[in-house]
Amino acid sequence: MYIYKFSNFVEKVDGELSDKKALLTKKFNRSDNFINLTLVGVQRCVEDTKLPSNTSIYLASDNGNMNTTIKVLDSIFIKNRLPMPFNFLNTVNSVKLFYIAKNFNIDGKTIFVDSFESAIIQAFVDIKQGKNVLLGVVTEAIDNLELHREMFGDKEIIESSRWLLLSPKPDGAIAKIEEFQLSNSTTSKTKTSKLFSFLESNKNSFSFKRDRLSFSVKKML
Amino acid sequence: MIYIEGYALISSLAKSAKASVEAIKEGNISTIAMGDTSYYKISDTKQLDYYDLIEEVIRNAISNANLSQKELKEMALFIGTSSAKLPLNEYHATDSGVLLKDLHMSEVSDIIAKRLGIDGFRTIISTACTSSSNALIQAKEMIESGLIKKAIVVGVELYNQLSIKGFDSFMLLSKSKMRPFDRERDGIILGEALSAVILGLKRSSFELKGGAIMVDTSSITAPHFNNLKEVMSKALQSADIQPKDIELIKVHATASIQNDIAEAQAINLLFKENPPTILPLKPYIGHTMGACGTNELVLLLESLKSGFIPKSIHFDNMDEECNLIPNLTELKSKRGYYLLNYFGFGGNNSSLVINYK
Repeated sequence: MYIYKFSNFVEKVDGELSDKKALLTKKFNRSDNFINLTLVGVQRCVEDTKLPSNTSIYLASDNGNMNTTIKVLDSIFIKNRLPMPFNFLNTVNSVKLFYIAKNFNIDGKTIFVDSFESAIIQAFVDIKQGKNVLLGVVTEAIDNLELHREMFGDKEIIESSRWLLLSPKPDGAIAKIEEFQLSNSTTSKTKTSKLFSFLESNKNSFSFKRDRLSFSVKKML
Repeated sequence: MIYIEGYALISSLAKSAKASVEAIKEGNISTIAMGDTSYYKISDTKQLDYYDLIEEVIRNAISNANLSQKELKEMALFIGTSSAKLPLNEYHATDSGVLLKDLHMSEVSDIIAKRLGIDGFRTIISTACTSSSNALIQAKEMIESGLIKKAIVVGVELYNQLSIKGFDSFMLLSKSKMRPFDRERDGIILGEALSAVILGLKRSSFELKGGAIMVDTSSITAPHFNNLKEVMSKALQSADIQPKDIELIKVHATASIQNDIAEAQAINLLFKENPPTILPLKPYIGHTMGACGTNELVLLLESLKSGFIPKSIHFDNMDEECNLIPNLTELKSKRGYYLLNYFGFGGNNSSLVINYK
């Protein structure tokens, strides 16, 4: 499995959430902060690469779009009325994938999962089948920073959208993922962000171990 | 070859697959009133029973498959759900007034794995109404790749206001009853249910022969018949069979105007003048969204095992635009290939092929 391209969009939040839509070349009317954050990362990863239409897309996020979920719950439980239809729709996880697929004319598999490890293991199966895979991990901050700190205990609040374009072929790749293994759970907890920092660094090799998954990454010379 | 080694279901019909199918046979179906619409509710459950119900349905499937504790420990766990922890979050929201307590999806699989002593790979798949059908396909492919040997695929969708009000905001909820493909149909009735399916290499009567997942970017809410035809074709290709080999299609059939037309047109295009038996199952248990993949699969398998194919209920008049009549009488079960359709918001569509041997 080869890493053909990657992006590592990370933004520190200390006031209002930034307007990600302004960073997008292709904008969608009803997209929310989470979807725009997702698309910023995807756009920076794919750039002008033409993706095969059967490319698989995996989007991992443990908490999804919290801001829109709060809006919908506020309509239902506080204002006692129906949510705005497109607010509800944006809380549906497959809808986030729709925007990516629409952006890049993809008609293959689109899967939303809870974690990076889960996504890359499933992507590995698609790669073995000869498909390309676009895989990302997106973390949104709650625009009510006090609530965010209360929920997650983060001292520094960040939003991130990190993406890998994976290919079964070495042509033009920047790195190779090898020794890909699923074993019994370990106590190792490599942070996903470290993989992306490694890809941005001058280092040549990197080892990932988290829960049951381990693999190594070697830069292509 | 990937087999279905065991399964279990907890639905509004009953708390086991066998009793649910008996309720279907006896026509013992009930919904509860909920404002202008109705809801298929599991009896005697509360939002806080969330983890207990998931644990119970998995334990029932494990028992049905006669798995040992060692096999259980090594299994992979796939949970397909659209609402994930929303039922619990909503309970806390109404209890404490804090709208968002915790969505943290991976906690669902972590807690369930810990309760059951599962130490293998685990994942949550959340792709709206295709969540658990996609989970079945992903688990099948992962077993075929050799990464895992066995998987428990769970579909979970339990009562939550967000789903009901969300569908209501799109005016998709029926004010009467679910009548797929009927001229008078007026929408969906949601329901809660959960099920677990054990996939592995041990030979059984049911093989998960093929499956396909595709995204349709023509509309975010309404499927296009071309994509639905394509996903069914790809599922048949993956099973290495032709449309003529299919005995029955378990249709997605939400009874919403657009979805039923698109699905019927896709079936008529693919199967031409010889469509197989058409079976909608949602009128029996409601639209159980992310869990309908495994829920409706289990209902079909248990019906086949019990020797019959249920009749379609609430259908009176054919819609000319659909030009499709579902199965109106109970039939004897038959060995052969069965196609199951599942379509979701965000254009996420999937089809499965089962071989009943």
